[in-house]
Amino acid sequence: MLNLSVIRRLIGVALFVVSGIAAAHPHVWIRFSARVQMQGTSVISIAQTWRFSEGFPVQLVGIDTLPDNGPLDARQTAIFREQAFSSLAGAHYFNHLFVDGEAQHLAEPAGFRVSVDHGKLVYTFTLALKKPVDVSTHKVSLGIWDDSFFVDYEPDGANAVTIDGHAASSCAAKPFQDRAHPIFNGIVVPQATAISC
Amino acid sequence: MLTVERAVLHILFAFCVAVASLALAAPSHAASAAVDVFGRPVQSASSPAQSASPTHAPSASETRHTVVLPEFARTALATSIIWQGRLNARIADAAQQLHRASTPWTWLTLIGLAFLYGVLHALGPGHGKLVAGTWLGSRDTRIAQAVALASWSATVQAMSAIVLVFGAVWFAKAGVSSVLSNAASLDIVSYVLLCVAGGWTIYGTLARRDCCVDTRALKLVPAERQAAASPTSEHEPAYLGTKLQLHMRQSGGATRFGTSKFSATSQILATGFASGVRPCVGSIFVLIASVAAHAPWIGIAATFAIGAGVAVTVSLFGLSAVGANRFIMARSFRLRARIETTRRVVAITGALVIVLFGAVQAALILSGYVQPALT
Repeated sequence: MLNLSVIRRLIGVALFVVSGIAAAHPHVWIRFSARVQMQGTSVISIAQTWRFSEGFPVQLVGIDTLPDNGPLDARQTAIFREQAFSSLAGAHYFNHLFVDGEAQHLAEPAGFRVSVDHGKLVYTFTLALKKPVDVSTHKVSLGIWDDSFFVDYEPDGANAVTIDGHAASSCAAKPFQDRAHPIFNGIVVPQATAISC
Repeated sequence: MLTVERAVLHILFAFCVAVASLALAAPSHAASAAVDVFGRPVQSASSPAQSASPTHAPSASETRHTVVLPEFARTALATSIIWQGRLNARIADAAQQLHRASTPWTWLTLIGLAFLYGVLHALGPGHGKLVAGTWLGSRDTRIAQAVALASWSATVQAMSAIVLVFGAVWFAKAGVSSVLSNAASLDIVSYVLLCVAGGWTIYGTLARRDCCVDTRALKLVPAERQAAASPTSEHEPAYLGTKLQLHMRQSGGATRFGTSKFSATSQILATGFASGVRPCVGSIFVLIASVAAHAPWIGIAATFAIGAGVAVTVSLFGLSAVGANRFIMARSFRLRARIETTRRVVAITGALVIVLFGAVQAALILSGYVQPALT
């Protein structure tokens, strides 16, 4: 009864069902860098820079022209915030801060700025932790990725995440492949950074 | 058997009615009314604070996935993603150059880059490839049908993007900012149409218009039975006193060939349309950029070039499915003549699963459990 032809059709059906799960591609490419603001051995906040690829089409209502270089004015920045940033709150601005394996919530972004650098859009902002986390007593890691993989985040250089602020001299940031949190149905393993002192 | 087939048709009809009703009744509960440039649902000003509150749990997907693809597969896909990013940026540059100075070389550069982008973009897992692969791999199809399905699906996808973007530019008050939202809505339409395409396949199978009639199958027919229908020859081979005739089973194949061809073509059209109606976001972005640069024809050309690239990759994927089908069929040769009924039942079951899949996905999106996917 279960001959090869029948198996062939069943495999076809199985492939089809799987297709519904694996349906996404990156369409926005961002190179990120982050400065982990520390006080002693505690993480206070994370200052970030997102550099979009040139192909990123921001055709927002109210934005007619962008400068070739330099910061956007307050009106245009507000438009960007409203139409191309605030909606990321539900995704926690793609920040994944884990403390002993537990995902942490971050406060609302502060100091949101938009600029154009050699034709590329650049976002800068800071996400504060709701409560400082002591990395000497907890295992802390930070990653920036989009679970849906609509946005592809790539670290901007080998040391995209650095320690900043008044950190203890023993504190360090070490990048690693976060195999505990694969995305895009296991196709992509995002890069994260272990922060320790 | 006839009663069972009618029952299946009734179930199918009930599903289609249920999905259509859901589509009409539940748009206000849809998961996403508007989508931003990150493919995320646009939230009101009060939403961010709400979603970032301590009571809001982190995304379940943060801890859900545990399976990781083998390193070589991930490396290959990651490489294609990196090149997509580079090509994406180069396409934008080429479009700008073309807008400034229209030369054959800049046109060729843009078309070539867009084509390569389409080829790479379709390498990743996605809706269209697996629909095409499933349809082609689950039946005996020709190479031309694989190419036709891939090309038709890519053409529909390109046209869908063009209609969406230019429709938004010319008619929508919100302008192109609403394009991604409309594209996300087409995700639901795609699933509903997959129900229809699957239903059409079921109908074709039930009506014996195609599937499971293998005109190449050989059948041994006892001589006495064959004698009633046609005069026999004394020189035919015999074994232990019984004459057997090698008989090319017609199964009505010759008379139904025209109908079968029509049915297969209509299934290709329906399946390709259903899988291609949701546009590629890469094409949408290129079109938006070209409209912003007041050079829409550049975007249209790039969109069709992307479509051609997608068609090439999907065709190769489909051809591998056709090849796999033929490889397996060649090894089940002896069983082929007696499994028609089984294959028909399995084919109907498979098509019914397609219908169910489309219906469930559409229902999940409309009820807010799943976000529409933009690919």
